[in-house]
Amino acid sequence: MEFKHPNRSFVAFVVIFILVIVIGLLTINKPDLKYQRTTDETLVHLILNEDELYPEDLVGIIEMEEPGYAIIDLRSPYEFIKGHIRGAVNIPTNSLLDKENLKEFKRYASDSVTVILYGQTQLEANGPWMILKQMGYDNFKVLLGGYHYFSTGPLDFYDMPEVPEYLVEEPACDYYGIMEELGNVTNEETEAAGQPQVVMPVRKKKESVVEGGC
Amino acid sequence: MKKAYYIMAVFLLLLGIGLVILPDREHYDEASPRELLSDLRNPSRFISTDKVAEMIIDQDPTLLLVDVRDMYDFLDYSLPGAHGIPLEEILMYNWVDSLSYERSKIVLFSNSDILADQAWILLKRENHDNIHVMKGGLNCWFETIIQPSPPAETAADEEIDLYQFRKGASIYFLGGAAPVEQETGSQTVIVKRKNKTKVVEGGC
Repeated sequence: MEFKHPNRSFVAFVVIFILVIVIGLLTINKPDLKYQRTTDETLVHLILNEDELYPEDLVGIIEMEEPGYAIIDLRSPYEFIKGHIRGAVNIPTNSLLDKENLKEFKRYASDSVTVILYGQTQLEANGPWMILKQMGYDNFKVLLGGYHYFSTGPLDFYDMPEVPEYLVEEPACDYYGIMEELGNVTNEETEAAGQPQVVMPVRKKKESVVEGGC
Repeated sequence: MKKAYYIMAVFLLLLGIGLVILPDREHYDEASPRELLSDLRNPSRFISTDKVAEMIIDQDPTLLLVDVRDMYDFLDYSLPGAHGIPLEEILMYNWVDSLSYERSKIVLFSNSDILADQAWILLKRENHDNIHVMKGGLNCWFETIIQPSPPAETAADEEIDLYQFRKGASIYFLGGAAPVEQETGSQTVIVKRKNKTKVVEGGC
């Protein structure tokens, strides 16, 4: 008789214990999307700079209607309607990781289709491209200069300036030179502005004559 | 009774072994791709060149400028007080934790904003807060702060105020030698110090 009661409460305890573990396992929150690359591995790819697409190359791809390419416009639907690159599909940045889009991306990857991402500028496409790169998608490229350059800038290969406008990371001017030049000009100007003035502080003459001690 | 205890002990032991076998989740505290995407849409991750100039001039103690270009470019010219950490080394040395101890506002910049943005995404994935990108980078810095273009005559007051600020900032960053407008007929003031006539001072 003494045996049964503690045993019963023990069984109840074990059942509760197991229930807690099972509930814990079921409710553990797993991110539905995972990175395939660590940040260090991603950095190696960033430095290689192999996923940049020059706008003049895109002209060729569009005109020759080369197979194996897909173009994605990351801007808002409103901007997309106002004007977009021929053959582009609109996937606004905030719906980039939606289920149907990810399914499409997987299909592109298995068909070895190269996907070209573009936004209004290169910066707009840079973030989405990096997220997909870290998730293991290697078939995405970024259009340099974005839609802004593609719709306005010169695209003829032979007509390009030495440093095209879309290479935004190139320094636009000689920083050190400009700082030197402007710094010197202003210094000279001030020197020419007038002779250095001699200003002597006026100190009041002490009025007190003989100061007596103690 | 004893048997029941044994069963329980074995059960716990099995759970323990299970924990050992499970792969450790070392990237547990990372931002997920979805979080990263929503961070990307947040406009406060950018900071304007005007704001950066203002903070440098005010000598804001919370500001930490980080130049992510390579060392040659950094040594050639960089913003005053900036730290040079090339993009290749952005994940090394645990610099964010050691440098951001007292400075809570980290601003990344490069010639434009692409490299800085790439560094931002990597650091953001590692869940660092208070990191910003200087919009437009140094190219924009020179365009707006060092060589600002005057607004149209009919421009709004704010625009003219902004231009005045930029002009002043430009003078500050060029070494503080402001071009002084010469007044016509200004007199040179020469003050002479009068000779002190020393009188014998009596002491104790």
